[in-house]
Amino acid sequence: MKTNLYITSFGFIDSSGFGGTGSKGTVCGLPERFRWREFSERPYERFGRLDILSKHVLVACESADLPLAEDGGKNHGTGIVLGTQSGSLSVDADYYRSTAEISCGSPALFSYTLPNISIGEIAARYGIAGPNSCIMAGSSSGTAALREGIRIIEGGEAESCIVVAADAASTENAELFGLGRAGHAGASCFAYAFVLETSERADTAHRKPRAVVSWTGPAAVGELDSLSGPGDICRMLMDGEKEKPDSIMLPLATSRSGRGDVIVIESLPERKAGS
Amino acid sequence: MKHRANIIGAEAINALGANLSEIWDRMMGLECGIRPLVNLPKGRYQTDVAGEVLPEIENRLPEVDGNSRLFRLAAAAAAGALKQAESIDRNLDLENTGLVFSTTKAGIDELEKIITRENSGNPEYIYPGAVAAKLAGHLSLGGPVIAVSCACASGLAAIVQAARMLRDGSAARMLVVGADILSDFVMQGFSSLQALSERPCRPYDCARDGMSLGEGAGALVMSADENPESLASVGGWGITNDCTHINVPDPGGRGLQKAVEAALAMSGKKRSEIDCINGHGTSTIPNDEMEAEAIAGAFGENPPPLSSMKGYFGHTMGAGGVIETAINIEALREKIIPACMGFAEKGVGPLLNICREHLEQKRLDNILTLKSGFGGINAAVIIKAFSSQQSAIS
Repeated sequence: MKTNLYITSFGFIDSSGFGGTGSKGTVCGLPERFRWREFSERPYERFGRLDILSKHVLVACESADLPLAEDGGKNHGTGIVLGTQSGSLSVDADYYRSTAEISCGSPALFSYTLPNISIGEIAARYGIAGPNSCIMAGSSSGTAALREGIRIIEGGEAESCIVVAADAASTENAELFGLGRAGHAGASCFAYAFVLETSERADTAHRKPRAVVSWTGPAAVGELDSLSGPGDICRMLMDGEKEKPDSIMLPLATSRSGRGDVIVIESLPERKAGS
Repeated sequence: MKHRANIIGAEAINALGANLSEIWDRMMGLECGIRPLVNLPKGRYQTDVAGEVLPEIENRLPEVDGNSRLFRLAAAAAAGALKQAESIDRNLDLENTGLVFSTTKAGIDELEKIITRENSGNPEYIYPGAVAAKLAGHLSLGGPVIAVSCACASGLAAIVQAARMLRDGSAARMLVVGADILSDFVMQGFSSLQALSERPCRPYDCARDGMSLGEGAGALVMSADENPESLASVGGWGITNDCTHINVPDPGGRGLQKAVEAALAMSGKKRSEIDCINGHGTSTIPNDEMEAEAIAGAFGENPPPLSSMKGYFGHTMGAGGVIETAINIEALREKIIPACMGFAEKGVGPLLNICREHLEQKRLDNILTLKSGFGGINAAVIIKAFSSQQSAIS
């Protein structure tokens, strides 16, 4: 099925650094010790209180240069979908350890023991009030979230959607649960964020399309030898990257039989922008 | 674009019973399943009562491989819903049936074992996506499989997810299974937030002082086909975010009101066509006040009758939206709005029409279900009695 949806903005943080539409840089120190000023000049007082998953998600969204909510303004036309494999597992472990030291454990930690909490943090900072969901589909979680963002827009529930693929765990908990090993989604700490929107909305807002979602549906025979993940979308879109592909295909291997649809994303070079 | 999400199978398991019919009968008998703790220790938490699935119920469920309570409850509910669906749709093709699994904490009891007993827990059940895949394998489902975890709105979010997947043709049938269990992790966590009542909860009551937790599983089989024997249909939905705080609802209820308005718009229903509101009604001070504001904002001075099921079997977390929707299907069939168990004297919204007793209705065709959760999420879903002329969603 052909689609008419653009990716107009993106941001990421992973072992290679952070970057996107708004900024680019390298990451210093362990993920559990990130400081907001390493990533953005726009203040964010809550950052130090966030769990490790939310920190990664917020850095990716900030790197995508999302506009901040102004005066309590809410954007009901934009949704958020998070795809994550391990969700809040790292803070789950931290919270449960805290019950040995504090009666009934730390309420501050318990508040973060739900994988969709980082959606609430995105919504509050950027004023995004539309449909939202947290999807967990094993190592395909990020691609499944992208598919859901497409569904939400194509179904007319929103005009744009922020899609985030993320997993994060502290060093101790990544080792305890084997995160980052075979069967898990790549490294133990990453977040990739994309703004997906209709071509009409992008045109109206004068936002430059960086890529187009050109296909969602069954893969043609012989096409399945160049499969990618959400991180590859960022690499395709990042300025200055060498030998980057013009298009990538993301598999939706979410059925028991392994069959599934694919999403094809094509980059839009500068000369094509707005055309 | 018109599409359909008809429900052809429903099942539930909770503190009141091992199946939907048993639960409904006990609700009609005004039985409360929130009782002194049996499976979990007394004296350890803010409260000694909860809606546990006791051994006399659990022991009647089919056994499954492994030792996971969560999986046993989920598999039993799923099997019950599929059995009913197969009696309605004799050509039910499991190979083209997908699964959406909803949960907040999945098999979090396994994490407790890993943290405290030197890695003796089975991590497979901790990951909602892995539980979903295991459940699909157990049931021989061949369609797309995903899990949804959206706090206390997970169940309704999963129903919406399945409806979207039917809409875009990802599968012809979708099984929605919601399951959550009570555990030391969960009981300690809500105790740390001081969110639990020492007595069975009292939704919307002036003396309400916190929630009662519960556990269980629910399952629905949804179909894109029009089958004259369908039990009910999804009429429309709205999902929004408060954009305010991760664990305190917007006191003005504006996010939930927007969700209700979106659900009404999608369904094409007028406010006056909603016959009943199945509220979230957790019995916490902020939730019930927020909900009252949202209902008043959406329905004005003449809202439909409102009831919450939490007083019967507690807040079953990520399973709640699915369990309560299954019970709503019984309500549509029997044309009875269950009384709001625990409610005596109104403590919120002077205009709210809260059911003190079971209400037999001549017309009960459209039930609006509300859920809100941490992370700022609000969900509103309209479930309507099946009508072949009006089963499509715009």
